Amino acid sequence: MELAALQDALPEIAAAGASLVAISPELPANAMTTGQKNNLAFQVLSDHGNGVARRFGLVFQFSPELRDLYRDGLKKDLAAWNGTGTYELPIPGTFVISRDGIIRLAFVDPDYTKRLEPADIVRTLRALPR
Amino acid sequence: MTLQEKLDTYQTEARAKRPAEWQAIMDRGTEALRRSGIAERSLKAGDRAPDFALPTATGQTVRSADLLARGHLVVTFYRGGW
Repeated sequence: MELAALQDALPEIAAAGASLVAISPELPANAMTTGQKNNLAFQVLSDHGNGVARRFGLVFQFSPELRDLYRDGLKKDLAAWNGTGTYELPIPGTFVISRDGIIRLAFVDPDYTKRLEPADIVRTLRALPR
Repeated sequence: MTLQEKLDTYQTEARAKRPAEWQAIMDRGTEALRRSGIAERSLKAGDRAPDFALPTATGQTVRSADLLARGHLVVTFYRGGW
């Protein structure tokens, strides 16, 4: 849902002078499926082992009860999907980085049902010097 | 509708369908994550973004430095398309 909303906002993001990438710990083949399923025109990158997410401070481990629920109840074996054997994930986070490499807007919420509005991304980008 | 309104609508429906025991596990997980302080420790506005080089599904490597040489950059981390 978030990636589809970002896809909708992609023309405005590009017009504001920015590129957009999505990063997940999925294996590359699974990231491709995600990209195709949502008809994404931006790059979906595979952060196998969460090395980049860790440097942004986003990585956590599922508790044993949460792991069991996803694997056995919801039939989502993330350890296999991500090819790591672990239930380690990034909390969703969105960062607007200006061309000098400085983060200008950071949105991070431990509640996985919360996301940054694409309109806030576009507003932040428009306020930056080109 | 905003993205968050769409997500909230979806979550309301998903919660109604989910067994209460499952929902309790998921809520405990979110609460533990909140208490852990991870959001407070993550990178903030004003911090320098780490450089990265990551592969696409087709094996191409995308470098943040190349993207920043062309303009600003929006990076979104998501848990997966599962």
